[in-house]
Amino acid sequence: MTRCLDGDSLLYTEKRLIRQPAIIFFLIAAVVLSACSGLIANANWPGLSAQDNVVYVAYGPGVAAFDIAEGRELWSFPAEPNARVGFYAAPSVGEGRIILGDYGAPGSFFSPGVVVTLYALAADGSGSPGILWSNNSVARDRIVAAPLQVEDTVFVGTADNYVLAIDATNGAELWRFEAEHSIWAQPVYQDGVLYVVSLDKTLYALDAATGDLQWDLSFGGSIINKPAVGPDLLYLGTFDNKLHAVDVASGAERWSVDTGGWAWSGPTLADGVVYAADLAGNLYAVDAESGDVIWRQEETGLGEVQASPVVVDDLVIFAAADNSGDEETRQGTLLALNAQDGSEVWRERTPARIFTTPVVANDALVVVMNATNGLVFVYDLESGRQVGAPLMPAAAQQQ
Amino acid sequence: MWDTLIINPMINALLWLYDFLGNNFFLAIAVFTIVIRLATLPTQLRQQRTSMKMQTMQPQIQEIQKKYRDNPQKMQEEFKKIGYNPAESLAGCLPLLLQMPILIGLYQAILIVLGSTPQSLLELSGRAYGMIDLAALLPITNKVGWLNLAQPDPLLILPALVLVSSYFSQKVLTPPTPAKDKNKSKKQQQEENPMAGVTQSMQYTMPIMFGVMSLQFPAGLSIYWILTSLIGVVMGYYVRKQMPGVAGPAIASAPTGASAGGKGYQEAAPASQEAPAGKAGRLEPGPTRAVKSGGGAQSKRKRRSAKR
Repeated sequence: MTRCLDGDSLLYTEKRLIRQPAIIFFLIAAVVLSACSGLIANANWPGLSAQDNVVYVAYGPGVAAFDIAEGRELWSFPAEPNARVGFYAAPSVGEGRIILGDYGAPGSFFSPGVVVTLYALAADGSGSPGILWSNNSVARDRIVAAPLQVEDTVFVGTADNYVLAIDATNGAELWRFEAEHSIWAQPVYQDGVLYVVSLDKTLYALDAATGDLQWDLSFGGSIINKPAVGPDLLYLGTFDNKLHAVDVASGAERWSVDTGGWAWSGPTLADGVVYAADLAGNLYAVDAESGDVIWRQEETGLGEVQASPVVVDDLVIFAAADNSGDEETRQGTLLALNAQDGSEVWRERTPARIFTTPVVANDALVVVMNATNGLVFVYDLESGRQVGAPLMPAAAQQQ
Repeated sequence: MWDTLIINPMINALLWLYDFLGNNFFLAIAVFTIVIRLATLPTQLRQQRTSMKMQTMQPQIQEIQKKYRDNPQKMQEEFKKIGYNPAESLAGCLPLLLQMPILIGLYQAILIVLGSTPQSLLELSGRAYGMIDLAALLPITNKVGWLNLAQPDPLLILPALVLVSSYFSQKVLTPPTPAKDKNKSKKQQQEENPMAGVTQSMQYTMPIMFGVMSLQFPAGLSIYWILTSLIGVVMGYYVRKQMPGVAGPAIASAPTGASAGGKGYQEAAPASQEAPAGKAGRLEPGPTRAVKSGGGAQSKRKRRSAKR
């Protein structure tokens, strides 16, 4: 190439040859720098909770409330979404308050780290809710788990291994308990005891008033979803492919059932039966007392099930993510089975994969998924057909 | 393609090392870094040697360029005779460019392996090879001392170490530039030896850039970068020892009265190249130090006279 050039041109060509890779390098570095802004680390699927006809969705840039009966958005928080903060943990609604935690905002450039904030919002009427209090000093890593309100106390697990008890009236910390690893599941409360599960494969029973450990029990796999608790037994799924029942008084394991894959989703207890699913798409109904398998559905074609089953009357509904095929075209499935015998009642393909446990509001099944045409989808419980148009937060539409 | 060839092998290598090294992710990253550096060592050594050789040839190259300015064909022939290929002058940048896919891949691999969100954990479960018992390995311990390996270092110790180690790595790996000729303007010198300007600026800009980037990097990635820089320093010294003709001018920074990288430089190089066989591969402290001290004194004298 340089053969046809004169001496000056050769020098020029040589300079270009040297400078070009330097420029390319800086361009690549710029891409890396922008790619390193924490988007990958902070992404998660939406969180969903409900009270009466209103559902609350933490969808990333903010939290939005929708009236399902009227099919409209009531409010969103924050009023001006901040791209640096993520909201994915399902909000906790009760006592006139909405408690929610965020995934944290990156610290300032020369003060790296994550600033995680817990908020209490006033849950009255429409319009952007007022902030009752906020606390950004209690957690140093993201809040993945939905907070739990018990009267005037909020219990929340954090990814920096703590379960915190917070005064719901003013946001002050009451006590904290440290696990060995992150807590991603909402704690459960019964009779003055708080049950907390952690990725460290352990179930902790804590005195809800003081945070003192009453007993703990370790398993062979991590636990990342909310347990179900009955009068005598607590039920949880673990990553060593098992569904366990634990005596809440003694902390001893009562029984366990093998599953065909990671028991990612939390089990659901209804009428003396524990309903569960695993990542391989197998579905189970187990007698809550004895651990006997009542029915088991394999080769359901569901894909991966991360969401907990939803039991409504005589239906048990499973939501799944089909991870086969191209990422852009992946869909989800809703499958309703007869709770008694596990026979299929209806099945509905959804426009996107479902990772979040659906809720029931206004006598309909409400599902959240990151579809291109909407975020909140409503399905008829009898037929499984979609009802109305999907809802999307106005703030997300503007983006 | 990117996932299959880069990310997934990295993820599984890290998981395997984590398991093998007693569930210590810090050690897994450290050993992974060493393995990566060893795997790319022959390429990097070759590039480093080529790069340094190119630099030592600069005086001859410039002579040929001047002499055959109007005869490109002859110029090419002369280049060929001395074994110079202009395209090879890019070699100095290649080790850094080679690092980029590794760096980007490792950034994503660390975040996925450490599973800092349920989504990334689910992704990890889909990427782990069948031979790895992921359920037994989870949760991956992400805390080492004050560090959460998935987050930036809040005490800024790692970014500082990235900056310092990158600087020394760049300094050692950058081919030494010929002595400056004070009789020529900066622009003239840049035109005569454009590579020197670029390599000199990269010596400072790269460490600053990586130091700044590491403020937002996961600590695990900063550890990779610090270790890779330290290995680079060792490698750089090794190459310099292997190429005594290069080591001399690197230390000799003072002008000798000849043109930039010109006669004075050429005289220094053969001196060390003619070293006895037994001393080959070692630095020749005598002449080069003499030049250094002489140059230093000369520079000081010039500064003093300028003050007056």
